[in-house]
Amino acid sequence: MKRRTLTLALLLTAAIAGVVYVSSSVSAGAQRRRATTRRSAPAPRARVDYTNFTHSTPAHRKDSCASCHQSPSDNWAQARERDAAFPDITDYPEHASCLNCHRQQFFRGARPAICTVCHTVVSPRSGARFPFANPAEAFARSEKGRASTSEFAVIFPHDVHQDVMARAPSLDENRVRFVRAAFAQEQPVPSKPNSCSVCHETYVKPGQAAATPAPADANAAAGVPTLPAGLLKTTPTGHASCFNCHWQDGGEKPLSTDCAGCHKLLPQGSPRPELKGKDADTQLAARAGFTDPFIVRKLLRRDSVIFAHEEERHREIDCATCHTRIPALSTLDETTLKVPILSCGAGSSCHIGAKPKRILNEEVDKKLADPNFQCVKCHFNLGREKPPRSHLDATGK
Amino acid sequence: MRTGRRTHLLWAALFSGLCLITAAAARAQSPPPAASCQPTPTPIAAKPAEPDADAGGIRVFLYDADKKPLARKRFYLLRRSAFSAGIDWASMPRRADFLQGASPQLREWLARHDCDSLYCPEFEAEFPEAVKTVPEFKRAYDDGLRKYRNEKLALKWLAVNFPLRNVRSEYFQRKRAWLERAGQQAGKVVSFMTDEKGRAIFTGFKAGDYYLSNLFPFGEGGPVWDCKVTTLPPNPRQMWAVTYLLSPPAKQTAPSP
Ligand code: HEC
Ligand code: HEC
Ligand code: HEC
Ligand code: HEC
Ligand code: HEC
Ligand code: HEC
Ligand code: HEC
Repeated sequence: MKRRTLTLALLLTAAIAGVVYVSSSVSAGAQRRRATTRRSAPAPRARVDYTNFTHSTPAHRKDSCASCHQSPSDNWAQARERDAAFPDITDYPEHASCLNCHRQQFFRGARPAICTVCHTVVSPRSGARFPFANPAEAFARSEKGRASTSEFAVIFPHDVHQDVMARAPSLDENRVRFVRAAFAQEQPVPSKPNSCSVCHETYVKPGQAAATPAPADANAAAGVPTLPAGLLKTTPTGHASCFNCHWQDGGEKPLSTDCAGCHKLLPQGSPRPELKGKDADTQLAARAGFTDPFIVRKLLRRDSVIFAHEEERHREIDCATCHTRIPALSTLDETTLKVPILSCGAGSSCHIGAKPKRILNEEVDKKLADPNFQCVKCHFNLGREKPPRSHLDATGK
Repeated sequence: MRTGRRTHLLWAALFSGLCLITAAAARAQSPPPAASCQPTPTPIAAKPAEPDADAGGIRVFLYDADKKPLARKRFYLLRRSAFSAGIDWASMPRRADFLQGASPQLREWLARHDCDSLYCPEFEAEFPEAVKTVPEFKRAYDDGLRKYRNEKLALKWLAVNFPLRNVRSEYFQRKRAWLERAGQQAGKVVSFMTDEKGRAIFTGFKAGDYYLSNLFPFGEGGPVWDCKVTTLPPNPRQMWAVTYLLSPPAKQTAPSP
């Protein structure tokens, strides 16, 4: 008797978890979360939806990640072009990792539902599978990829790696700068080399030759907003920039087999505001021609969508000058991603200052005089709102 | 604006005294020489309006004695003075202690750049050459080639197959652990790396007095700075720029390595 209630309770919990999962997968977050459209709504009677895998299920959290995920996958050499290939996790966990607990579901009926977590066709003969979430670019283009977001956020402690890759500016670097200064008129100034660009490059839209700086103008003629080129920086989408140091066979900890050393399971239903956007919205992203889902996500997360990294003067500034919170940066905590308004100019007075009046002071003054005034220099949507405390403080209001 | 002369002198006097003491205490590894800082404008000691008020921000510019910016150097904003926090200076790791088993070629190669681990870009840029001339790298490359059957990958993942872990990153790890402990003892608020102009910005902390220190000398036998920072911008919510001239130790006492 006791046993039955327990089983029932367990099943119920699983069902509720399923419902919570379904409703939470529409909200947003740092990463993509698996939320496939293939899922059927849970039946009135408590039943587990085996077409839909989630890592949050207690039984899935019990054992190490490596108990399911094999590293490297057998297909790593085929998963990428030859020159880009490296040993990696590029396929689903194998049957053995499910069978210990799911023997029953694996052998139920002619077309077991559980197969569709990984397979496109349910058949005892075909091994055809959906693309795996890694490599992320191919996955993002697939139907399954478009409909899903990750259940994880990545842990990358920037300050530790800043020291790992630290270097003193060498004599060479000084010499380069000197030469550059001498020929500044003739040559386009290359972006400063730095240890950040290993992992963060300026995003170039496909079909666009290079990121050429263009004037920012959110409210261009005919009401069609444009965004300057050279706007965004990419972030890593896979293991290419990690496993050269963290590979299991001799590398640094966390090793590649220790998935949880870098991937942190997000709490279910954690708020994911960037799906609807802050300063930008999905319409603006579409109009501006951004289609890459990773990049759209970056755009929607922004406070200042107009800011362009490749703008002539911006590109001359060291990354750390604006990204002052690098030591604390965590994609788990949105506040650490903010670029403080103070780095827009207080001290160097590029955009903040009373005499001569800089753009932030000017816009804040206009806004205080007329609540309908829209701030357009740095913002698209947020410019309609009330100026936040940080802006008033920075201008001494 | 250089009214910090007197404080400067005072610091200098204090630290030369300190250096004398340290010289007397002939240890295997004596504390690093202390060096003074000369802030401009001079912090005015006064109470913040509210004790736990948010400070706006400080932008510090750090220059060495020759007025060259201290670029890409790690500093700590501390609650306490580094030299009165009871830090165990004697346990500071030294690079030379992490070279066991290294071939003469590797030692020579390592001496070319001032890096804490094999991972700094200067070293990585020279990997293609190192696999030809340094036996340890040669071995790592051959290992990689056997495993991945791809020359580019064997080179890119060279460090993974590098046979001597102590040389690769153990010094870095020990230094990191030492700094973590020292930072805790001195009440670390935040650490930061200066940008290429020797600049750093702090925002989002409480008003009050802090100390600015590198905690760990930049070069062996180099100084540790211990500068008092008073967060008192004219308007407490705004950015305040302070320039620090970090002078060499009051008395050069470079301990023999
Ligand atoms: C019980 C087996 C199992 C365990 C344990 C497991 N996984 Fe998974 N993982 C899977 C399966 C199955 C998929 C594919 C799910 C899908 O495509 O719907 C997957 C997909 C993923 C993905 C891609 C999808 C996403 O949400 O981003 C990541 C990342 C991942 N796992 C990381 C981890 C980490 C980290 C751990 C340990 C904390 C872990 N996994 C533990 C079975 C497992
Ligand atoms: C967690 C993901 C996952 C689930 C669930 C899953 N498979 Fe697979 N399946 C795989 C992987 C990965 C392979 C490739 C294994 C290999 O090649 O070693 C595979 C291979 C196959 C193959 C080809 C076997 C072969 O030797 O080539 C068949 C057939 C197959 N699966 C059928 C099924 C059926 C039927 C189900 C449901 C009862 C199912 N799979 C459930 C991941 C999965
Ligand atoms: C070894 C790779 C690597 C290096 C080097 C690196 N980063 Fe990152 N960075 C990452 C990863 C991984 C993330 C997290 C991305 C995510 O969670 O989607 C990230 C995130 C960020 C973000 C937040 C991105 C966002 O979406 O808002 C910023 C800003 C950033 N890094 C700046 C820097 C700067 C500045 C440097 C140089 C000091 C640097 N990074 C060096 C890998 C790196
Ligand atoms: C002039 C200031 C400035 C400089 C210099 C700068 N950034 Fe940024 N960066 C920003 C701002 C502003 C944002 C948008 C933050 C927001 O709106 O939330 C941003 C966003 C990012 C992001 C998130 C993706 C995106 O584009 O929104 C990454 C990654 C990043 N920066 C990396 C870098 C790297 C690497 C460098 C150096 C090569 C760098 N940044 C230099 C101000 C700067
Ligand atoms: C150039 C080599 C290198 C690269 C590239 C690299 N790491 Fe690391 N990573 C290290 C070293 C060295 C450590 C410190 C190990 C230690 O202190 O024990 C480390 C530590 C870590 C830690 C543990 C931090 C801690 O507090 O101990 C995490 C998590 C991590 N790396 C994630 C990543 C991710 C994610 C990437 C890719 C975006 C990456 N690393 C790329 C060298 C690297
Ligand atoms: C050294 C750090 C590190 C380790 C260890 C690691 N990953 Fe990752 N992984 C990353 C980074 C960084 C990304 C790209 C950034 C992102 O996805 O936000 C990534 C991306 C992924 C992706 C594609 C994007 C996504 O989130 O769905 C999958 C799938 C994945 N990892 C699975 C795994 C699995 C499975 C393991 C363990 C076998 C593992 N990773 C171990 C750092 C790591
Ligand atoms: C020089 C560029 C710049 C100008 C001009 C500017 N902003 Fe901002 N704004 C930023 C940056 C950077 C942030 C993110 C950092 C912060 O919140 O302080 C931001 C953030 C915001 C936010 C979001 C705050 C939050 O906490 O989520 C709002 C709302 C906003 N700005 C409104 C305005 C209004 C209204 C004006 C005109 C009076 C204005 N901004 C002018 C750069 C600017």
